Amino acid sequence: MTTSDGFDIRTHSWPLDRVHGLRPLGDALHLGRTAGPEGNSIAWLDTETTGLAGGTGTYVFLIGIAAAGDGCVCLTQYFLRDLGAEPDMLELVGDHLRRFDALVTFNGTRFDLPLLQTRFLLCRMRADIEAESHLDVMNLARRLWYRRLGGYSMALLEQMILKVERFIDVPGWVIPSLYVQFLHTGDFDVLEPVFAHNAQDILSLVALHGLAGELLAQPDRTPVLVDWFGLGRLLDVRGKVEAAAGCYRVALEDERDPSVRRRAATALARHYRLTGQPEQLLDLWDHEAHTGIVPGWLALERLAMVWEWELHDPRRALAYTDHAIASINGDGDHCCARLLHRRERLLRKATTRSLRGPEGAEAISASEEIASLRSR
Amino acid sequence: MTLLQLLDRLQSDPRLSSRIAAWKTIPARPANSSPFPDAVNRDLVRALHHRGIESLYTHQAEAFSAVHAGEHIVVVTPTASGKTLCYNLPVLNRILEEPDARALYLFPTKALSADQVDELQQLVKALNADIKTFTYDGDTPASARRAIRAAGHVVVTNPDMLHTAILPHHTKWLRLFENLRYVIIDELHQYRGVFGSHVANVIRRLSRICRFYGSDPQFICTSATIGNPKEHAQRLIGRPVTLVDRTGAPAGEKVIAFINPPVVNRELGIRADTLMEVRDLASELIRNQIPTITFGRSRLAAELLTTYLKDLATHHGRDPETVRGYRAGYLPSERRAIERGLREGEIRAVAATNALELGIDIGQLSAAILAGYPGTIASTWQQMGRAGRTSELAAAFLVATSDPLDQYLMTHPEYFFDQSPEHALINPDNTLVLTSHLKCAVFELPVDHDEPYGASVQAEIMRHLQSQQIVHDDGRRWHYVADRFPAEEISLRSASTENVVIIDETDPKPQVVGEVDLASAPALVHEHAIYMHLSQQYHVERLDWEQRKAYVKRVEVDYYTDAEIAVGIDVLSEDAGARGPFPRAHGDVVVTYRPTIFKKLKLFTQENVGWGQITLPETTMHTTGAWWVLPEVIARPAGPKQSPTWSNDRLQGALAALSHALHNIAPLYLMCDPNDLGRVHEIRSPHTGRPTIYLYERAPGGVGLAERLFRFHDELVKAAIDLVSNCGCEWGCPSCVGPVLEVGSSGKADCLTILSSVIASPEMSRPSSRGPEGRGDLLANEIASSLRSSQ
Repeated sequence: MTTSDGFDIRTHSWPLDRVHGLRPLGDALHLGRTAGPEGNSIAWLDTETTGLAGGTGTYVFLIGIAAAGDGCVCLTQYFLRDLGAEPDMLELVGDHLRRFDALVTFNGTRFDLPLLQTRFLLCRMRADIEAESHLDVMNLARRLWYRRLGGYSMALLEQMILKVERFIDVPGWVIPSLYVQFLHTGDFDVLEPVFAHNAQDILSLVALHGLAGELLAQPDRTPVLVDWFGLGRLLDVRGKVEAAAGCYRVALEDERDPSVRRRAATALARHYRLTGQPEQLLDLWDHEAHTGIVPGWLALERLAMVWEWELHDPRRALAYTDHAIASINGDGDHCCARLLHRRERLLRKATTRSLRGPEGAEAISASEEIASLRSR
Repeated sequence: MTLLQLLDRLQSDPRLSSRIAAWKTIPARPANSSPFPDAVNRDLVRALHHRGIESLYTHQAEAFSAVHAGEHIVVVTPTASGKTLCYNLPVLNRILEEPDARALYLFPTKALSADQVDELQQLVKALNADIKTFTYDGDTPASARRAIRAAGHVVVTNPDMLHTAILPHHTKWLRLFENLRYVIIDELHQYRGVFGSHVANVIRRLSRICRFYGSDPQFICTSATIGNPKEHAQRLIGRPVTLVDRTGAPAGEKVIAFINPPVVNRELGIRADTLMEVRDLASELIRNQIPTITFGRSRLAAELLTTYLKDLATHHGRDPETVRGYRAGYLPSERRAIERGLREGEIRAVAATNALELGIDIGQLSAAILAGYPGTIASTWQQMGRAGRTSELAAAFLVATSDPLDQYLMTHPEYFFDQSPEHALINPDNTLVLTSHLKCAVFELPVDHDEPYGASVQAEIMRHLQSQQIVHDDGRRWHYVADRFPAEEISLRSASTENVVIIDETDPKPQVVGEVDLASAPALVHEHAIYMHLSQQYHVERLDWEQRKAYVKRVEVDYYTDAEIAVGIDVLSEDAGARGPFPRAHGDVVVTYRPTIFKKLKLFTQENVGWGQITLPETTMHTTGAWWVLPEVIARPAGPKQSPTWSNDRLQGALAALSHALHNIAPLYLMCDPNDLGRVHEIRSPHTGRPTIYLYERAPGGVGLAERLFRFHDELVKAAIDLVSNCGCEWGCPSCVGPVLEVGSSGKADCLTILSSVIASPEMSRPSSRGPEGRGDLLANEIASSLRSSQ
């Protein structure tokens, strides 16, 4: 530990074979690259503050920055012992951060980074920390686990996903008052758990980052429970469409929530449509029509769409549309209106096509007549 | 018939002229123009020409030159004298020359800012320059906020948003604060009393932030006529200010008449109904389509007048849609439509409450009729100012009610014409207000030990905040270290913003038709009330007090309802007391508003056609109060040789007189608005067991006025004696102990007897027996109670 006027710098390192969560840290560093962020050298960052509300009156009193070192993960903790020393400390933190070109945080988008930005500005330092290449692991965690766990706080993820236990820890909301107590009494001991808390948060951040990368790289071999639809979406965004489709298929195996099921089926259908697999499309919606979780009329409507636009058969499409209209019960007027509109169009198409047969020109004018009669 | 002919008839017809209590003609005033100063950008001059402005009025040129010379200014000129140009001109001129320059516009209400932004944008459009103006308030979508922070040249907002959203996040507003050149404070007179004291502190905080970013903006203020515009502006912004008050705008001749309705019941001294008099007066104006505005003192009055005027329009064969109502509670879109209708002349008459008193642009009307004295000289002039044309004749009528204050004015019109309007008073250094804002200030930036904040940093307050672990002292500066966001706990306006929504259930699909604020709800939307909105009557079917919803159905009945509210006071705890000759105390009180009954009054005749109970929970407000117990020597004479004990009536009158006198004088010592205090008296108080008068704070939780009343007791009593004994009236008037009708014939004399007996007592100057000792204790108490109320 080095001590300057008003602030301390502590360092700590963990060997790469130290297991935290499911994998050794070395594997996590490697696996995490799949999840991002773009950049050559990554720093993992977590802060402790005097408040959770944000704004200019919230100080960042502890900044933990971790990075891959020589055979280890090295953690540097900047601790503000004296509020008046903030500019001096932030200058060193700024120098430290400039050694990296990408950041990984947990909720940094909304909390840590804007707060640090504010602190730099208040100390009259122009920093553009919010514009750096940055991955917020919380965004990934929300997609991957929110629906499975009912939340995505770090504590919950450690308990349910990483399966790590904290032996001595302080809850996050107590930390601001411990720091104020330290300022008041000068009793440094009350802060020891806070340093440990920050270090543990960073370890779990590295592990979660690695796990997210692993899930994205090998979605077919997931070591933990996961929200398949969410994983599919993450893969889709990253252009891994085949793997995404696989996730949607798994999601549909046991998804009971109508709205999620509908979104998963729609996402999978989009994939089949873009890759030109109409049979799969028919199977998919046929299956949905029979499973009975997504509303029946909706699956039938989608079948009608496949027949109309993919397979160009307005008569079959019309039959499904009629079927869909018949199976609507109390699902709101706008769906019904949409189906009736489709029916009108299909009726026109169906008659046009049948009349545009061998009979020729005469028949066409007859169909126009029918159409104009209808429009009256 | 023209307005001139109408006025002639009013004076010549003996039946009508007997009602005239005062008649004053203000001669026409010619325009006083001035060429554009050389410093005005040529493009800007061209754009103004394009908008039909060929030259400036002298006050506009004077304002521009003063600002150009680097001065802070306050512009005081009548309604519609082009005061917005007094700030738009220097602001646009600066931005044209310095494209990075920024300006901040502060308006007290949203309705005003909508109008002024519109005007500014029209000018920018004519200018064809890349100048962006944005409104930043609670309605601004989150997606637009980032762009406004970075790119808005002119940011239009209100003090509340500045306080809670902009200053605590000033680093996000870097561009604004680094380049802030002008701060515009429109409607300066609105910032008085508690609200003004808060806003003065918000401006101190704004100035600190500007210093941090190296900017030093000039302030351009505008105000309606008040007694002390220059002093008020200087106090509010904490800087010397140049006053611009010689208007160059032209005005036509204007007649001001006081109309006193005739006595209809000599025994009871009852006069003809004010609203009916207004109706008769308005009749010919409406028949002749002379643009007219009527002001009612309450929403009910405004709605009744709307009904009467619409009826008149129909009667005279005019379209009733050309007559509209206007008051708080109408939806914003309805209000905008009415304002536009007035400006464009589609609406010929409007019945309003003081919601229209502000600088909302409705164009100029020919006649204004005030149904009752609005309460202050300043607002009377403002309402009367709604009538006034640049060249033609205009008229303003004040029609008196039977209220003592109105009657006093009818017999003493000089009181109105000679008296300067009220002073706007604020006290930015009120300990409680100061403490609140120091918390916010230290949140925004650490406070240096020797940093000036207002007069100086109150080290005592900071040490108190330190002991609460809200700030930390690093030896040189105080830092904010609490976990909470201080600005959100501090309301600039103190009053609650809760309201009751009114839902029309006549049709199968219920519809929200309006809203009333929570405090007015018991009187306006109790069950079986007739609620009037846009002159449609609604019967209140049920009031869901818990959910803050009133369910109504449209009806057409020939009566309206009028609720009676009883005000009561209970002492919760006594913070400090003093015996002495005039025993007194201050502490926490609960003020109770209890709606009792409502009367059904027939439209047009006011005949009482029934009544009902109002079964609503009392609304209570926790606040602070100060109270005085009548000296023993007066209330309970010691021996048989003394004068006999006063009768209850006499005692009642004396208490009313005493409370009135203290209430009258208190604002001068507290630097607050008279409306910030309420008064109650009790012949036998349950708390003291004796005849007692109370002054309580109208702001929930109180802001420390009561404690000051207690502390300034000696000065207060002396000033009250001066006030009462120097008043020229014989038996009492609104300016001293209250009207004789309220205090009785002995009220004034008894009040003086009581006050003099107190001052004559040798105990007067002695320290109070168990009063607070040092100022330090008091301060700690004050701060502690403020912290309690903010939690």
